[in-house]
Amino acid sequence: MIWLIASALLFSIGAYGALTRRTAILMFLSIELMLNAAALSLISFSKMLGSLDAQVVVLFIIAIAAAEVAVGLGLIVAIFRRRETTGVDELRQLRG
Amino acid sequence: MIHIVLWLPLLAGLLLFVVPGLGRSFATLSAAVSLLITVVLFASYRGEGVAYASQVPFLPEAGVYYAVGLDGAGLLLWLAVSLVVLLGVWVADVPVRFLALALMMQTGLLGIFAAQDLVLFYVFFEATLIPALLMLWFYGGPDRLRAIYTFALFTLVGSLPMLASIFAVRFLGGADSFLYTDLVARPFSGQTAVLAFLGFLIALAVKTPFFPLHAWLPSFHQQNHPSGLADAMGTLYKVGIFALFKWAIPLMPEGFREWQGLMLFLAAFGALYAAWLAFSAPDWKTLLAYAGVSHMGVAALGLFSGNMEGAVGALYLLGASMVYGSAMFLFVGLVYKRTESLEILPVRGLAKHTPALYVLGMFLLMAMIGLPGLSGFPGELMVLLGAYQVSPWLTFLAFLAVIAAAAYALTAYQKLFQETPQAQAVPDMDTREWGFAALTVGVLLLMGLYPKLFTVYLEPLGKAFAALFGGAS
Amino acid sequence: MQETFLLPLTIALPVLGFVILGLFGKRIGEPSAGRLASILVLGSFLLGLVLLLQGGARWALPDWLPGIPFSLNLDNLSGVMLMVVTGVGFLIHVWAIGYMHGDPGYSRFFSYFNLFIAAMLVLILGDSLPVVFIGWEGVGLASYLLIGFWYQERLNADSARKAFIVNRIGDLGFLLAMGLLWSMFGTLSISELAEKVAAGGYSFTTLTLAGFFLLIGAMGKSAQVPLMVWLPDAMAGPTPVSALIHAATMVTAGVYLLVRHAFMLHGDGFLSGLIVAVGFLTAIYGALCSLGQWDIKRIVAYTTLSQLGFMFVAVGVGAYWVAIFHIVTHAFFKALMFMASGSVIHALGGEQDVRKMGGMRKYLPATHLHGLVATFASGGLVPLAGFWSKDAILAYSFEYGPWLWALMLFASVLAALYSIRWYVLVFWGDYRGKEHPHESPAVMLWPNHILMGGAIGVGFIGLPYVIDYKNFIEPFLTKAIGDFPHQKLPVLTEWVLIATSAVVAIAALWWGFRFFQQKMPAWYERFQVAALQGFYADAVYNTLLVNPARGLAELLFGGDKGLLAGFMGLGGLVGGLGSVLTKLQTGALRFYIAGLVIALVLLVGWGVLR
Repeated sequence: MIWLIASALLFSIGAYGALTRRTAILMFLSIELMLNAAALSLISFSKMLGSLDAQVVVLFIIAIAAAEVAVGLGLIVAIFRRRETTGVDELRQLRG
Repeated sequence: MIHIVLWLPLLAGLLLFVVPGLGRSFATLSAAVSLLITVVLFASYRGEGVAYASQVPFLPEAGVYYAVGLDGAGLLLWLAVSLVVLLGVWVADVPVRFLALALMMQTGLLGIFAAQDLVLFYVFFEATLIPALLMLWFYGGPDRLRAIYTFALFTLVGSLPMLASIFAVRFLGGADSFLYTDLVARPFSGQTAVLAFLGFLIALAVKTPFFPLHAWLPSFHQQNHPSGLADAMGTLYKVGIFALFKWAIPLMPEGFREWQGLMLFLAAFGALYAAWLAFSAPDWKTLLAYAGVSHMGVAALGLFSGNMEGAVGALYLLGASMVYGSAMFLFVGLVYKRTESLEILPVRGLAKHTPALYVLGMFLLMAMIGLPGLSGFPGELMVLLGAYQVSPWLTFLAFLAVIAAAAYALTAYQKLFQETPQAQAVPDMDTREWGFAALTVGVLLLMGLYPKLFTVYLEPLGKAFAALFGGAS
Repeated sequence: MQETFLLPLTIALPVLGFVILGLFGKRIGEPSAGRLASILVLGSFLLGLVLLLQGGARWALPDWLPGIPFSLNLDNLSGVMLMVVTGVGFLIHVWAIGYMHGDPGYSRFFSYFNLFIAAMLVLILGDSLPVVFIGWEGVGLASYLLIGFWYQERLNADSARKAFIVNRIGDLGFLLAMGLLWSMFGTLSISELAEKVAAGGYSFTTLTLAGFFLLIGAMGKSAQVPLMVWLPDAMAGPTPVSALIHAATMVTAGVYLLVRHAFMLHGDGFLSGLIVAVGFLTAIYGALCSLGQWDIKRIVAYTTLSQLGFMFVAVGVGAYWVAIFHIVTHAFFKALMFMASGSVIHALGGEQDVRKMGGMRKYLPATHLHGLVATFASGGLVPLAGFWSKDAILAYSFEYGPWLWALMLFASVLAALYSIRWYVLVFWGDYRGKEHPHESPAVMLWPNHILMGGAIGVGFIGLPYVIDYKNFIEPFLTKAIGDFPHQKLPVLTEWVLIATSAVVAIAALWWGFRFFQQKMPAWYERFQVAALQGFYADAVYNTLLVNPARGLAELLFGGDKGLLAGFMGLGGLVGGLGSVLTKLQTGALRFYIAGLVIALVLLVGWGVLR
């Protein structure tokens, strides 16, 4: 039970971070935090309900997170090379 | 046999498009063959309901079949289409690729009338749009882009509700497939049917065209090539009345009933409105566009009356107006060839130079305004007889259009052919044009003086139609 | 009565003329075109006569339209009309051979002339109302083509168009009548309708409505007030056209239609009164206008209008056979009047203004005789034809009500006056022009001789019963029209009426003869100004109907463009919606994430609360 609260807390911190941080790297970090919070809550559910399916999903999450980080960081590096900045407020070219 | 007539024009058109060197004679030959076989089909018809039927499963799990067949109405309209295409490719002064497009469109049109499966009908209905758009795009006037947008958007946006309704009719109505026979066996009723009918109505109101969704028509005709061939094909594309008669109303008679009063009113109003407007038309194409709307309003009035006379009249008028409407556009094209202009106001007095053309135009004009003895009259009379039983006032309103028609037709014609002749001489009709004239006048007289030839097959269809409403109306 | 294909043959002959002369007219040329056309009409006349003497004929094609046969019926009524149309038609065709000499459209003229005869025959012989309608509009078409024969003049083209459009107003009435009769009885064959009406079992008011619609149609075709405006302008056509179509035949079609439907009108007080009112109004209007015209053809045109009014009154008072009788006599003397006018116009090289005529009796003796007889017949001088038919109308009017008789007597006085005015201005006095008048060629004189004979003698087929001479026409026609027995007036009353008519006619003719020779007094000149303009009927119609109609057309045209703009506006609306929505695409990442978070919270909240 306590782990659920922990993961909710973790998630909130991650969300807060995603919303308030200006640099791309920190935003990325916050998103990772949220992802891991979700994984944590899944594990605790697995423990609570005795189901192994959630643990399988957590493995998926870890794999996906890893891939996503690789691609994301590569993108950020490329953007930084181009635009000399990673402040998300300045990166607005994809507007409608 | 039916498949030959149906697919030959498309194949011929494609061939001609790719190898334009084959020339106009190839197109004329194809059109003539189509017409000839259609006449044979008509002559062999014995009134046995849907004849020459053929049915092949296309997507049997979805209930879609390739099913074609012809009944009296279908045959009449096939004759009209084939005749007009022949007239058009024979006499229109256009590049060969244009003729190819017209031929390709012919298949679409024939398919609309022959389809016995609802999805197949929809496919043909939409597919015919493509050659029409291409004709407008490649050969249209300076402002054709707007006309294309208007035409395409109206048609396509209008057709979407129909697609939804098509599925509603089958799946909510509980039929086994999209075949006509299956769908008619399980008519669709209830509140949803009213909405479903509206779906059909919107699409077909654009196609008829029916006030107030007719607004695309004037610019369509104005921007089309002045030879009149695209306009003639466009006139053939006015299949709304047929589709309402064959598909929309029999599949949802209760739905139709809900809308009947409003539609009768719009039909009558539209007929008079368009005829009145035509009087102010600055050029011939616009005048003919509105004249067409007026005629379709009258036909719609007959159809929506829900009785035998009205239905027979509507179908006959549809066939007749296809012929004289298209012929009138082609005629205007012949005039354009000589005057380089389609405006009505300038006085040209052409009758002095082209007396034969003058007489031909007079025949067409008189057919158009419903002179008895020519093709427009039997349909209009039957519509009158049918509509009067349902609403004398609306009949009166709609038929005020006959006065307006005489006014706009004769006034415009007077400026063009009568009054002071222009100084510059123009040539009278050549051999091809004489052929066009002879064939057209012959058909106008035949349809006007011996309507029995067709109405004998239309009458049972009309009776069956009226029976949908319990025989009374 | 036999079923025979010879009956449609009477129609086929002039159709043949129309087609042959239409296609090959230029090659056939003068005068063979005219001869061919005339012979074909004569053929129809003879064929019709033979069939009539055999007791009539029928022909039908069943189910021409569902439930409607294409049927023709030659009985005594249509027989008489056929005789008039083809007989007088033949004479006018022959006359036109001379009159149209030299016109570049000679063959075209005769082609159209034959078309007219064919259409008129369809109208007369039709037993099924749609068939009658084919003829009805067909004569309208022929009239259009012939009035606008010289269409290179804008005025002629306009007049033709006006005639066609005004006629169409009447045609709408005919159409509505068909609609109503079909919904009432399920048939449009006149013979079947007569049976069903006799059988009863329907609403009388609805039948009155049907009769009313037919009346509208008749009013259009027969130029009754208020649909009369096209007839004076129809004089733009060549004189043979005026003589045949707008005097003897087409304009009488309305009267014929009503008589054919006597079974519907008979006994209907409202309709009878209406028809009498319309007829009387027209009779007076035509007479007054005629007295003010200066164009010789317009003078005669208005007299025709007036005489048509008389025929309508006859129908209204129930004197159906009399109306037809008057059609017959009128055909003779009015055609004669037109053709005499035509001879004068021809003699003066195209002059049509009577102020430049006069004294023609010295130059054109034969035509003068024709004109004199026409005048007397038209004025109702006993014992010419015009007297007997008009007197019969007066007698029946007396039965309807002596007040009507008095009114009609007044109308007859006017008739005498306008007839004699025509005569005096054209033939009497001294010649006021500068041309060298020459008499017409024989081909133009002989038809007039025959018409003159008719104008003198044809009245004797319908003498009143008090005269001890058999009335042929009444029983002949009544057999076809239907027996509507009426009380005969007492012998003394009848004689008094006859004597009064005769004396009044003679007095009016004599007084007019003196009056029109002198200079017109001031009151007459003032009257004439208004009469010349048809009492401003055209101006009234233009202001009340024509111009507002045009204005409305312009308005609606603009409105329709607005409709299209409206639909385009719908498209614009979608675009506008789109541009509002694009505001969501800020490009700012944090904005997107914020959106995601909010959505997440909401979804979870919804999921939890459910």
